Amino acid sequence: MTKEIFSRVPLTSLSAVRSTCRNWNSISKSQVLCESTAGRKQFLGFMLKDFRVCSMKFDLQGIRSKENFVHPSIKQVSVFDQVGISQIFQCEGLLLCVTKDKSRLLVWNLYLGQTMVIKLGVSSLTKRRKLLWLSI
Amino acid sequence: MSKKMIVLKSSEGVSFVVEEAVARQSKIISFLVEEFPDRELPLTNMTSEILRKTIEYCKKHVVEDDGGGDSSSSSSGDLKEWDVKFVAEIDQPRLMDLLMAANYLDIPSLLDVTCQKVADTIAACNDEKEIRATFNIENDFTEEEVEAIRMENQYPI
Repeated sequence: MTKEIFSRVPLTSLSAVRSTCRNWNSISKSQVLCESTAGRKQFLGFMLKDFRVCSMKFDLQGIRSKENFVHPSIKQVSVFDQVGISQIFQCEGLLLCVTKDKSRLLVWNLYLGQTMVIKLGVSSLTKRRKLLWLSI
Repeated sequence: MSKKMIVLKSSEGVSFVVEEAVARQSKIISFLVEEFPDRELPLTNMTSEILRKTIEYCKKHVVEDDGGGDSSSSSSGDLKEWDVKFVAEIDQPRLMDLLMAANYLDIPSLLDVTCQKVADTIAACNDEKEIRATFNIENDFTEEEVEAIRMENQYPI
């Protein structure tokens, strides 16, 4: 039954769920959060607001309701609290963020809740040739 | 034709007379009715309060076969709205009891709405401290473990 509940919890709560107690931590590792989202026709996307990553969630069924607007729930993602983000791209459960100073790329695996930093740099080889490097 | 009624008895021994079609939304009751027709069904692990709530839900969701009843006229949109209101009015401990009842009686749609409500409550919490307070969960982690989880799940700076 705990699994039934966890499959409905949005990924943005992963860190809080895992830190709650031992039992929840172990369940959240064998059970993918948010699994049933597709079935519930809920849309989860990401957007930027003042250089902060925010999750945006709304119920697609709401579109057919009498009102003209759907009311999404927008919540700041605490994972990237410490840095400003200028661009985000998402694909298949991975979120790629470009930091404001363009010095780093951050990759966030939404399903595992893991993050990775890719450092970026440009070195001048000659006046005309520059080298773009990445380090993980 | 008169509707067939069955009797459900709560843990306090209070009897509830309900239409068979209403009660049959529970797969367990459906099975018991066939096995033991014309008998009162004791639900010893359900309080009267929770049983009353469960019956209220089942009454709203019953689909009338004869098409003559007005209770089946609610559209799926209205029903969804009703469900949201229904779980919103229940406080946290009772919601958990209702969820257990839905699980025990095997009523998939009630289990779905109650699980969703609990999940939404978790999502509405800002951090693990709020989750623990809401669900009355004890923190059984050592400080090192909390730190390790934080490192694993947070942006590593």
